[in-house]
Amino acid sequence: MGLRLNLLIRMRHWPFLFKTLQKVRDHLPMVMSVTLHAVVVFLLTYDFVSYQQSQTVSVPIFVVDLTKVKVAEMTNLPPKLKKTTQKKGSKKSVRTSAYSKAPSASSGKSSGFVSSGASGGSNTSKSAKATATVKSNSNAAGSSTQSSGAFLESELNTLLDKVTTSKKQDKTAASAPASNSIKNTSNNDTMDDSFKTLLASVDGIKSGLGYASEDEVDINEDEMVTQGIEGGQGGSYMQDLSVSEKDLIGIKLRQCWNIDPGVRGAQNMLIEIRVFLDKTGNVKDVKILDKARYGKDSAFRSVAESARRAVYICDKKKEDSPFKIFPKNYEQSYETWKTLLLRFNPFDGKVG
Amino acid sequence: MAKWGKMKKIFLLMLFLIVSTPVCAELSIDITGAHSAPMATGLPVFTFTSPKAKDFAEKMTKVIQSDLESSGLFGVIDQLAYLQKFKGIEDAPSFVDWQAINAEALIQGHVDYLNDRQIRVSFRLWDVFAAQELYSATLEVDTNGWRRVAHMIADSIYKRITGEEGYFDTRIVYIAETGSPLNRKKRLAIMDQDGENHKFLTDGENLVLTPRFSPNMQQITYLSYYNDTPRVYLFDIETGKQQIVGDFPGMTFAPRFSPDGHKLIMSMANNGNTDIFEMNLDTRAVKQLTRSAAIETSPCYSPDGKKIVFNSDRSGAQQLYIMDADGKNVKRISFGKGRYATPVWSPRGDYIAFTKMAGGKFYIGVMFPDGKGERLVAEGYLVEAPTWSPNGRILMYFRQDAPNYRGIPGKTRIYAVDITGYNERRLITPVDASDPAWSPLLSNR
Repeated sequence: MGLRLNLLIRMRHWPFLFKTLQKVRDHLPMVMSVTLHAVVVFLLTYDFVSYQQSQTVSVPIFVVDLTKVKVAEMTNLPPKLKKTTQKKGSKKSVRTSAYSKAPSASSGKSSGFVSSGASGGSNTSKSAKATATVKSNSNAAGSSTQSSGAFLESELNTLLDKVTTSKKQDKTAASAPASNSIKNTSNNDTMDDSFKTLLASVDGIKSGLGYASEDEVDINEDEMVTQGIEGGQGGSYMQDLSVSEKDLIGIKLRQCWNIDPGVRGAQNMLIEIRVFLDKTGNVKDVKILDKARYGKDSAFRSVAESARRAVYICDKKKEDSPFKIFPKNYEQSYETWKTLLLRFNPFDGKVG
Repeated sequence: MAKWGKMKKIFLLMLFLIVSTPVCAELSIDITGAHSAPMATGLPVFTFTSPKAKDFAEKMTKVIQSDLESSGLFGVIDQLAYLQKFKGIEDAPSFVDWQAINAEALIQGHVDYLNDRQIRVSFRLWDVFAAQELYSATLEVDTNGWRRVAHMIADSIYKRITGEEGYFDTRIVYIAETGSPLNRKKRLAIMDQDGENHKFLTDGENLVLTPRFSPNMQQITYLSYYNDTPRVYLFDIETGKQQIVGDFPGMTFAPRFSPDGHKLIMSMANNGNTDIFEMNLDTRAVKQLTRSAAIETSPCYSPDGKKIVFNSDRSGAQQLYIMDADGKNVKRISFGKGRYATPVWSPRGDYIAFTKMAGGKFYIGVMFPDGKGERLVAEGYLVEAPTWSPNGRILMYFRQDAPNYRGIPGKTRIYAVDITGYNERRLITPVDASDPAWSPLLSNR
């Protein structure tokens, strides 16, 4: 009792403590908000760190002869995998991964990984580029939609982890056959491309570990088309137009847009128009969005109709149409450009 | 309790921010700026049913074409380029054919001859690229009124495309000048906006100046030197009668009607001082609006009748001022170099047109009613007296050329220019012309 009293008497000299508590109570919502923000930031940071860690793979040191690897020009737009030479409907038991299968299925237009690594250019000094491509594909594997190739690569990563651990346990049993198999398969001249040997060597590792047997799957021709690295179905290779492409479309539309500059209030107008395109980049339909203003403001209607006319006029220019850029460069991501929102602003607010 | 409500809101907001996943936004593109060129228009000669209607069809098509082209906003494509020939108003346009010749709009018309006195005119306006009908109408009219009907059709087309009222069915009153510079005769004259149907209203015995239309188009007010005393008069167009507006002690000038037509505003000079007065035309009551030792003149009402713009030299130089209709809240709006005169408020209220004198030249310009955004649209040795088209798009004024080497004054002519400063056109008049005044739209009378 005496101690309590003593404490209270002492705290009498620290009125700021009470005041601070009072302040905290007064600003409880703000305090809660700050705390919650801090929690969110912490969670995000933690998540990010753990994500980074999960992506980090400790790759064991391999001696791989890359001097014979042919490297094609780099591309971030992997073309579609061509049909295989297999007869239609025929099924084949594929023992290896899609990596080692893909080269036989591909010629000029094969999967991105394979084409950049195996087919195409003859310059062997581009091994750095090849590595870069491999990297980009491993990034793709980390993206939301995993292609089968990307999936296999992540599988490879796990495998390599296993190799490291097994190396430690038993050097002669595991690592020596693996390196042997690399050499053996890389010297195999029956294959067209040297890079296949590298891919095949992965299977060699697998077989050395008794791992490949799990991979034995049946695939038919249709599946083959979607096999390999194709940027993933619905992958994020084309998310948006580049700034210069947007500018080009804007400039072309501006050339088609003929307005009466003296129309009342034109300097304060912004006309939003939705354009519906078909897969060939032709305009299917055009809708003026602000129907309410369109109905009651005749000046707005005039400018909006001129903007709509501009879209149609540009569309009639056929190959010179600004919308032809989509089927030309972004054919595979039709979903992202099948509707466009065009914002027409006659003066940029600069007319006095 | 309220605090908890607030906290709940914050919490929900945060929850929303955490849970919400980024939604794939629609691809959007900004188009800033446009080009401006006359709208390519297909206007095939109106079809007709009987040979008697042929003449009307051809004449009306010509008037419509001339009206639309004079606005500077339409460019009618040559008849020889048309790929489709219409047989009647029911013929659907082949849009591909019109797109091929880059026609953006298409006007299709038909004339029926009903009897000696009446014709029926039908027309349709098409948006060629959107393949849509924009407007259609049928009019039954007196054969004598074919020209006015053509103007009205042109007005409808203009209105549908630009969103503004047309101005083709209007008239111009102006001062027709004849005779030598020393013995100049000035007469009141009236004509259609395209120069047709010209008529002199006064005989030229007395000098007349600054004619102005009343909003109901029945009367014209002007300044006349009857008996060598300048006074404001009213002229009735229907009857041709003139009457003096009040009996003021001094000289009255620069008259103008109020937007409702019930009041007249003017300047009166008395004992060396000029002020602005307002006169109620119904009661003839007069009210003085300005009381300053300076010269205040050229008053003009705003379209809503609540404000008056005028010029005054109270600051030492002639500048523009705005005041309330009762003469209060006087505010200077022009601050540029030079002198400003003859301000006229646009019928749509967004601009004030004026004459500016600077650097030995005259200019016609426009500014916003707050004095900002001054823009000069015409210049010359002498350009003066701007008047607005009823839709506030075109300014008409007169221009006098510099005197020749013998000192003889140059010709005075009427010109019209778009407020953007483009498409300046000369109005053809039989004699020299000055001080034009544009009427309101006749069909709105």
